[in-house]
Amino acid sequence: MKSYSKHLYTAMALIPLMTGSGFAADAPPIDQASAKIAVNICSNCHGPGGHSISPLFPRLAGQQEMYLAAQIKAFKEKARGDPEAHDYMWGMATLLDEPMVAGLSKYFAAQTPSAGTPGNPELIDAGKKLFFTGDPEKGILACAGCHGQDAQGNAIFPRLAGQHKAYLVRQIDVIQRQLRQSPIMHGVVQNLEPAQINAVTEYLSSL
Amino acid sequence: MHTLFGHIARILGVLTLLTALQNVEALPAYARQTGQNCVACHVSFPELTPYGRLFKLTGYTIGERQDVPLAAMLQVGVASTANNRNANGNEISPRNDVIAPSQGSIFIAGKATDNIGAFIQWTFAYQNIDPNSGNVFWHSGSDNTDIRAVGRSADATQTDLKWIYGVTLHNNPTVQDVWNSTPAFGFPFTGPPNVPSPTAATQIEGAWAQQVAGLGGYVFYDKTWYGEATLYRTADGVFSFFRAGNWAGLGTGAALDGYNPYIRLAYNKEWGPNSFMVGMFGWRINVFPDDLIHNGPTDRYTDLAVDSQYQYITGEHTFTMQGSLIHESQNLNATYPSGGSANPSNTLWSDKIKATYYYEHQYGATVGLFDIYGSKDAILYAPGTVSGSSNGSPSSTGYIVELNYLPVQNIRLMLQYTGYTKFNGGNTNYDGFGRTAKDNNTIFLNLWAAF
Repeated sequence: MKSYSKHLYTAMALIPLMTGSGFAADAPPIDQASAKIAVNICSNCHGPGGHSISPLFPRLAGQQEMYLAAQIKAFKEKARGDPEAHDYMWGMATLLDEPMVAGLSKYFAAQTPSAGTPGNPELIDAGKKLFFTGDPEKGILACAGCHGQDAQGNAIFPRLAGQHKAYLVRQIDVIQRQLRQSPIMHGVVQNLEPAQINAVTEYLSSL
Repeated sequence: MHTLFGHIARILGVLTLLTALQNVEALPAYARQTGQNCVACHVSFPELTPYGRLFKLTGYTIGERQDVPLAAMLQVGVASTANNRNANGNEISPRNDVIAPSQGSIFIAGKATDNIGAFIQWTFAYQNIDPNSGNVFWHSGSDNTDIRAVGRSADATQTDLKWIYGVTLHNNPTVQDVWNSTPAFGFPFTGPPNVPSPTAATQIEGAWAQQVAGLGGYVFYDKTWYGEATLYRTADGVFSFFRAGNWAGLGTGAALDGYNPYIRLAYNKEWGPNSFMVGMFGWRINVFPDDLIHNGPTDRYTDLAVDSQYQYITGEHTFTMQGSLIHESQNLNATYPSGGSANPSNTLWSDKIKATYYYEHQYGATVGLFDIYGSKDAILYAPGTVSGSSNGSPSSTGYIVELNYLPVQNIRLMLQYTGYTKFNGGNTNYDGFGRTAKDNNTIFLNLWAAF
C-alpha cells in the first residue's frame, strides 16, 4: 500500500506542473460578460460571488480555477452522472461556450473564500487527524496530500475548506456509489466509514 | 372498495405506460429552456423552490430561448363522494366513481428575449355539466396567464443581484405570486371536478380567475424585500383573450367597475437549507352584480390577508409549510337593496394551513386544514339541497390528506381525501334537506402528467 500511495502522490504532484497551473501567471482581468452571467444566473443557486446559502449547492468562492473548468466541462459532456449534476447543471453548462467557461472559472476562483462554520470540537479533531494522516489500515490516504495543508485545493483538486458539510457528505456518497466519476477519489474514499465521513467533513466545513 | 382497487390498478397501468414512454429529456417547456430538471424549480409542481421563485421573478427568462416553447399537461382521475345523491335522488357528479380525464392543457411558456417571458395556459375541461340536460360536455378556454417584462441590476461588488424588478400582465389574482401561500397556486393544487365544495369563499380565492386583466409592477430587493402593486379590470375589450372561453355573457356573472388595486408585501429570508417568508396581500374591488350592466351601484369587497411559508429543502428530505388568513369585508351596496342579501354588509374569514413532506423528491404526503367562517346571512347562504345552508352560516371546516408518488419528476400519482367536520354552517342536516357534512367527503385518485 505504501508503494501505491507514493506513486499516486507523485503522479498527483506532477499534474499541476504538466498543466502549467502551478505557476502564478499574470491573469487577465475577469471579463464583464462572465461577471454578468455569474451575477444574473449562477448567483441564484450558488449565492453572491459563489457564497451559496443552501447546502444543496456548493460554495464556489475561491475554488480552484482548473477544477471549476473541469467540472463545467464534465457537466457539458454529461460525464458527471450524479443526480444533482443531471438535475441542475447539465442544461446550464450546455449554454456556456469555452470562453465563458474560462471566464466563470476565473471569476469564482478570484472571489474571497467563504469563512468556515464552527462545529463540534471532538469531531473536528478526529476529522483533522484523518485529513492529515488518513487511515493506513483501511488504505485511506491523507486528504492533505492532494487537497493541500489548508484544504485549499490545487489545480484539479478542489478546495474543500469552508465548503457546506452536507454538500461534502453528499459528494463522498455519490463518489462511493460511483454516481460521480472520479477515478482518483473512488479508491481513496471507498473504505471511508460513515463516522469518518462525518468527522472529516465537520473539520473541512469549519476551516 | 373493490371498485377503488380496480381504479387504482387501471391508473397504475396508465402510469406504467406513461413512464415507459418517458425519457429524461421529455420535460416541459421551462425544463427544456434551462436544461434543468423539475426539482430545480419545484418541490413538486406547482410549489416553487427558492430558485423557482427567482426563475419566475426574472420573467421565465433564464436559459436558452426555444423555437417551439410548448408544453402540455393532462389529468386523469376518479373521484368518489360519500353521498353522490342530492335530496331529490339525482346524481351530484355524473362521473362519480368513473375514471375520466378532468382537464388537459397546452402551454406556451418561456423566454422571448432576455427581458421578456411568459406562462400562457389554454385548458380543455372535460367534465363540464350542461345545466339544462345534466349531460357532461367538454370545452376549452383561457387558463392561467402571466406575461412579464423584467430588469435586474447587480450590487456594487458585481457578485449578487441587488434588484429584480418587472411588470406583469396576468388574468388571475395572485397567479403572479411566487409563494404558494396565496390562492392561485396554493394547496390543494388540484382537486376533483363537480364534487360539493363550501359555498362561501373570499373574492380573492378564485372567483375572478380568468375573468380579469391585471397589470402590476414589482420589485424584489436584496432577495429579501418584495413589493407589488397591481390594478385589475374586467377582461373585456382588448383583454378579452384573458377570459376567452370562460365568460358566458348571460348576465349571471359579475364584472369589476374600473381599475381595482391589489398590493403585496413580503419579507423573505434564506439560511442554510431553510427559507422563510411572511407577508400580506389584499385588494379592494368594486363589483357590478350583473356582468352585462356596467353602471349603477356596486358591491365593494375588501380582502386583507397575512400569509407565511417555510421550506426546508435538501436532496433527501423536503419539508414545507404554507398558511394564510384572509379577512373579507363585504359592503353589499348593490346586492342588498335588490334583495340579494339579508345584510347590507358581511364579513368572511378563510384560514388555511398545510404541511408537506417529500422523501427524495419522490414520495410525498401533505396534510391541510381549512376553516371558513363569518357573519350569517339567510339569503346569501339560503337553504337548498347540497349547496345550501339551513342556518344562513358560511362556516365550513375540514381537512385534506394527500399522498403523492412521482415515479419521474413530471408525473404525479396522487391520492387525495377531503373530509368535512362542518359544511355550510352545520354538521348534520346542514342544508335543510337532511344532508350531513361528511356526506361530502371525497376521495380522489388522480394521475397528473406534464410534458
